[in-house]
Amino acid sequence: MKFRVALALLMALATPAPAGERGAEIYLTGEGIQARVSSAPLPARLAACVNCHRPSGYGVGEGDARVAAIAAPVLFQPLEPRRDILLRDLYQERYSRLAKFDVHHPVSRRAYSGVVDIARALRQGLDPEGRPLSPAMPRYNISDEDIAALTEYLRKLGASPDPGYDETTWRFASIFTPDVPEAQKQAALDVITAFTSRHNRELERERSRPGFSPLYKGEYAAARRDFLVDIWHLTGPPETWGHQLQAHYDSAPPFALLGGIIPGDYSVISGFCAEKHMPCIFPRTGWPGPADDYNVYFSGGYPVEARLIADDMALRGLKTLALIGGESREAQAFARYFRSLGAEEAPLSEADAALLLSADITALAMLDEFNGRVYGSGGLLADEAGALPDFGRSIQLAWRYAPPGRPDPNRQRLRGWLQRTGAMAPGFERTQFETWFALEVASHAMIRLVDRPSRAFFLETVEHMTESITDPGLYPALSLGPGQRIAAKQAGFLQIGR
Amino acid sequence: MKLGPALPEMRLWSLSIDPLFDRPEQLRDYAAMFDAPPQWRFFTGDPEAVKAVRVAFDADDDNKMAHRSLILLRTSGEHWTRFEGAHNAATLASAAREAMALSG
Repeated sequence: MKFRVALALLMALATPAPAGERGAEIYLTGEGIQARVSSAPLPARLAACVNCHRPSGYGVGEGDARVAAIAAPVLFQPLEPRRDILLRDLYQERYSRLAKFDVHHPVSRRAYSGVVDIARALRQGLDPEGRPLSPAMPRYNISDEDIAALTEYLRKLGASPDPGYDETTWRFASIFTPDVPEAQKQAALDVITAFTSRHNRELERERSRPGFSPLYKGEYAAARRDFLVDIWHLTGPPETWGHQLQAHYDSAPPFALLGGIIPGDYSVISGFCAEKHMPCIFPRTGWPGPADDYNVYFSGGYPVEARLIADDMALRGLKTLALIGGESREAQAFARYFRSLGAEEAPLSEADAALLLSADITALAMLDEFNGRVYGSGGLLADEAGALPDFGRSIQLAWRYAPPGRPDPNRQRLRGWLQRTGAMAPGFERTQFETWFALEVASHAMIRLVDRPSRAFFLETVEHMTESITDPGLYPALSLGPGQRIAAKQAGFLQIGR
Repeated sequence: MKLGPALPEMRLWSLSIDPLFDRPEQLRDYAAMFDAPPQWRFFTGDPEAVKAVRVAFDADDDNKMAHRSLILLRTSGEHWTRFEGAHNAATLASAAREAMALSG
């Protein structure tokens, strides 16, 4: 009996995937494909198309390597050098000197017509004109069936524009949950309004004067779109957000979510983005959802701080902890998460260490007689401008932001812009800077995409350029890379007092 | 592989250019992908330490995504041979063999 079950299982495994799925499997995993690059065998994971050409097929390059676009609108069309794309590659993309050399020598070719051309490219490394492809393109030992499956996959890759992009508008949305204080929400909304209206005013000016620019800007007039950010105000308890998100999405699907403020658990929203394959860029939340392909965060949030503290306690052999203060919902969530890491709680008089969850006078007074190590959460205890209260004692703050007081010229520039536009809300500097950063990244990515409205390409572009965007200095450094989803990775202790 | 019998005499060191993301776990995973032999070692560290090494070898870049492809080769002496950009396995292997033959 057991034997028969095993046999049935084996047969199920041996059944070939339907052609459509097999194409995706080859592209995304390289499963069952043999490849060599300059005659050395390549592991399947590196041989998978996605590894260089990326999920979008537009192939954002890195370092010396510029990767050819193989999405359907490029591969199955004749390739002619495009001034607009080349200008982006030359002046707006960070490549090394060697890669720029390639940009100066663009190629043209006829369209790939189908399986025959694709087989020749994969097996012999030749383009449809019979010219050699880059030496970095592997040579594949691949069956006719697999070539057919992959060709089918490539014909669909990026073939139709993603939602949220039409003849006039590039539509985004920002989410605000009901627990966001009104003044903070307004501070973010003012930045969104100021940013998008400046973008759209400039566009209007360009459109009102055809042939307005003898230089490069005119190249892009046809591809540029109004920047629209819908505001999704969620209401009621988190269990009802799923339906509200779907209703908003149905009425006008955005290309991506940008910024927004979600103080509590972000997982309902991250799950929704993953389900829709919709990029969600830099929401303001302390509680990132589980890692996935679509959600990009500033930092690892409160969980990073809590784990730092738990690890430090373990390192020092501190076993018991007293939680002090913390009436706010965020403080309570922090305490819940910290407990889930398995710390043992004790009354303050018996505890090895204390964790300060709010800096009010009552909480601080409780620590007067305490001689043990005191920890605090930077996210809970620092205010919006990064300023810290006077703790009146030594405390170890788990800290994921830039060191307080680090001079930053970009911050001054941004303050100037906020002041000029009348959007400045002095008590909400962090909210405003983070909102601005999400919009700035998106506007650069829109420029970079030119007329290729692919959500996947947008995400890859964000991964690529986050490090190059003017950073208002809120975090030690903001940088992503292929597949990376947390931009500020550094965290440590900020020691206050003796 | 191209080095054949010379391989055991080689030491290969790879240094991450993204030390904030590449922790030992990521490097182990990367090494496993190539079935890296024991003499091929992978390094990461504090961003400042990694930067200091890169600066010392004139291999630093201001932006991670615009990094150079760089291979440095030497035998026991002080002088390094630089390979910038893409090079195929055969070129590198013959350069390595040549260097080893010269140093005797």
